[in-house]
Amino acid sequence: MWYRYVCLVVLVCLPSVSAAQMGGLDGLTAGNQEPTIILDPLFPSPGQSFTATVQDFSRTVFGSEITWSYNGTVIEEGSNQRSVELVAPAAGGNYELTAQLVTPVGLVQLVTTTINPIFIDIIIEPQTRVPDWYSGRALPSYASQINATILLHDGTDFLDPNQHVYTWRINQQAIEGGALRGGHKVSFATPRGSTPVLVVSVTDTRGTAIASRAITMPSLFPELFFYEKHSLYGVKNIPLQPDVAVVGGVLNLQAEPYFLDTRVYNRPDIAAWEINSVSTDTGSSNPYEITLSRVGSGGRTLLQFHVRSLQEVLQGVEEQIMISF
Amino acid sequence: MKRIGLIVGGIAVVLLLIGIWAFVLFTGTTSDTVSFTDFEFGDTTDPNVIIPESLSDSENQPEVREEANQRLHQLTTKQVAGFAEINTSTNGRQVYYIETGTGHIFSIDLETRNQKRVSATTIPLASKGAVTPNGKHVLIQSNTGSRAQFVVGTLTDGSDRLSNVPLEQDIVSFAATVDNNFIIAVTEGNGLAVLVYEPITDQLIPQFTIPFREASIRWHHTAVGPHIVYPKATSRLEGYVYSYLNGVVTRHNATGYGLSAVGSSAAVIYSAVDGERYTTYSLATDQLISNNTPVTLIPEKCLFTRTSDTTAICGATLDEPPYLMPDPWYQGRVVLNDSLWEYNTNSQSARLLVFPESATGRQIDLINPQLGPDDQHFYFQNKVDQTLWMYQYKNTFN
Repeated sequence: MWYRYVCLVVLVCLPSVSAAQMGGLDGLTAGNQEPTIILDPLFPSPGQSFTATVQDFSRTVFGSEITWSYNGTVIEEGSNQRSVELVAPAAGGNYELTAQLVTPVGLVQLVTTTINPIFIDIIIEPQTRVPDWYSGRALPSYASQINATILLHDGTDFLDPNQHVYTWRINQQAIEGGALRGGHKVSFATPRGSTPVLVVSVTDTRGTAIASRAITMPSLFPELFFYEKHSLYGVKNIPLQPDVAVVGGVLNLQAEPYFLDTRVYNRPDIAAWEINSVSTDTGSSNPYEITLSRVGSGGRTLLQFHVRSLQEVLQGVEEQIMISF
Repeated sequence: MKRIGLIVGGIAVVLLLIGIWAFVLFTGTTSDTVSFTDFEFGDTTDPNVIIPESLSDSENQPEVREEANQRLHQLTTKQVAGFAEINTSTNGRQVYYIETGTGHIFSIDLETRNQKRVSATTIPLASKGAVTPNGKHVLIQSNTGSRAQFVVGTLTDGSDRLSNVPLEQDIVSFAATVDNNFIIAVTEGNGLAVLVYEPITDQLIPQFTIPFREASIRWHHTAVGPHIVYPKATSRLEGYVYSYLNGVVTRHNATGYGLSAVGSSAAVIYSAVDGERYTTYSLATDQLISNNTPVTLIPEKCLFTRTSDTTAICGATLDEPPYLMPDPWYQGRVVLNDSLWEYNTNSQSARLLVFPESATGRQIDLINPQLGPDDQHFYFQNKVDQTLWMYQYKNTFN
C-alpha cells in the first residue's frame, strides 16, 4: 500500500523538478523570455537592406497591435507586421529600431534594438607570384600562404584592432588556435577544395558581438604565359600566342607563372626548358628566361617550360609554345 | 480534268517566272548604287558571304566630329616611362617625357612640336618615372620587382646631366605633386606608409599609412588628396574603396569583385563584376547609393579633371567586356580599342570626344591618363607600344 503513496508523491513532484530546470513554471506558460528583434543579415553594412523580425517565444505578440518605428519615424507599411524591410544608415548612423506591442488588454511593450552599421572588409593577400608589372592581385593556389586582414570602419576611422577580439576559421578550422585580441591579421595555408570558406567574428573585450562575416576564396591552379623580353625595355606586357611567328633571328622569352606560391617560384626543384622535347640548359642566371636564335633557314620549334616544387609546396605548372622562325 | 488544269497552271507559273528572270537579266541596269542582283533582303547568315570590312566596321564606329579628330596627336614613337606637362614663362608649354630603358629625358614644345633632349644621363632599364610640374626634378625607377632601384634626379639649366640622389626606400607607387614634390608609398610592416619627398630639402615627410600591402593607389595631384586606395583588383576577390584626405581615411560604399576605382572630392567611379557582368557605377562621396554609368569603363583609364570634380575623361570600349574582367586586361590577353569619353557624374551623361581609330587609323588601349595643370591637354599612353599621346581637351566643341 505504501508504494501507492510513493507514486503519488513522485507524480506530484516531477513537474516541479522539470520546471526548476527550465526556470520556473512561468517558462512553460507565458514564459519569461522578452520579445526581441532579430536582424537578417545579423550585421547589416551601411546602405544595405535588411529584414527586422519580432521574435517571440512568449505570447506577447499574439493578438497584439504592432507599430514599427525607425530612427523616430513610424513605418506605415510595417503596421501589424512581424517583419519589416529596412535600409541601414551610413556608417556610425546609430538608428534606433522599435517595435511597439499593444496587447488586446491594452498592455504596451516596447522592443528596441540599435542599428549601428560599420564596414566589415576582409582583405585577402595571397603570397603567390604575379609579374612585377601586373596591376591585379595574386590569387591563392593549393597550399600557398594567404595573409588576411579584417578592417572595421565606423564612418570616421578604422576601429582600433587592439580593443577587439577576433576569431578566424577556415573551412570550420580555427586559425591560430582560437580567439585573439588584436588579431585582425592572420596567415594560413590555402586548404584543399576549390572554394574555401573564411569566417571571422569580432567581439569587444567583454564578448559582445561587433561584427561577423564569411567569404569564399578561390583556389586556382597556377597558370603560365610566355612574354617577349627586350634587353632595354624589359618584358612586353602582352603575352605571346600559343603559335607565334618570329621575324628577327633572336627571341628573348620570359616564362611568367601566375599564382605559383612564391616559395616555389624562388626555390623551384624543377625549372626546365625543353626544345622539341629535348632538355635545354639556358645558361642564364634567371631560370625563367631563355634566348632562342634562328638556326639555318629556320623552322618550327616546340618550346616547353616546367616549374615545380617536390618538397615544400607540392605545386607547379608547365606550358608550351610553338615558335616559327 | 482537274489534274490537267493544275499541271497547266503550274507550267504557266514556271514559264512566267522564267520570263521575269530573263527580262531582268537582259534589260536590268546597274550602277554604283543600283545592282539588279541586290534585292535588299538585309543581312545574311551565309558564312560564305563576306561583308566588306569598311562597311561592317562603320556601323560600330562612334560618330565623331572632324574637328575633334584634329585634337588628337601622337607625341612620341618611343616607349615612355613617365611624362608631365611643364608650363614656364620662359619656354611656354612643353611636355617632358622619360624614355623607357635609357631614362633620357626629352622635351616637346607644344607650339612648334620641336623635340629636344634635356637629360642625356642614362638610367639603365628605366621603367617608370614622374616629373614635377616645374620640370626641375624627376623620380625614376630602374628595373622591376626585387631589383628595382629609385633615383631622384635634378635638372639644371645649361646642362644635359642629371644630378642624382638615390632613394633607398622600398617604393611601390609614386607620383609628382603640384608643389613640385613627390608622394611615395613604401612598404612598412604588413602595410604601406605614404610619404612626401621634398627634392630640394631631401626630406621625407610622413602622411598616412595603409593597413594592407596589396593596394592600388590613384594619386591626387596634391599631396593632401583625396587619394583613392583599393585592394588590387581581381575578379575573384572582393575589393573596397577608401579615400585619404589630409591623412583621414573614408570608406566609400563601394564593394565588389574585380573592383577598381578613380575618384575626386565629389565622386567615385568604380567598376565591379555584378553577377557575371562587368559593370561601372558612379557614387557621390556623400551618398550610399550608386548609379550605373551609361558607358562601361575600366577606371584605370579614367581621370577626373582638375577644374571640375564631377567631370572625368575616360577611355572606353563599347564592346561587351570579356568574362572575368579586369584580370585578362591586366595580363595583356585582352587588348582594347578605346575611344575617349567625357563623363559627368552629376548629370550621368557621357559625351564622345574622339575615336582614335577613325581619327588616326591607330587602335589605342589607353593607360596612364594625365591632365595638364589647366586641363587644356589630356595625355595618355597606348598600352600596346607605350607611346605617348595627347588630346586637346579644353574648348572642345566650343
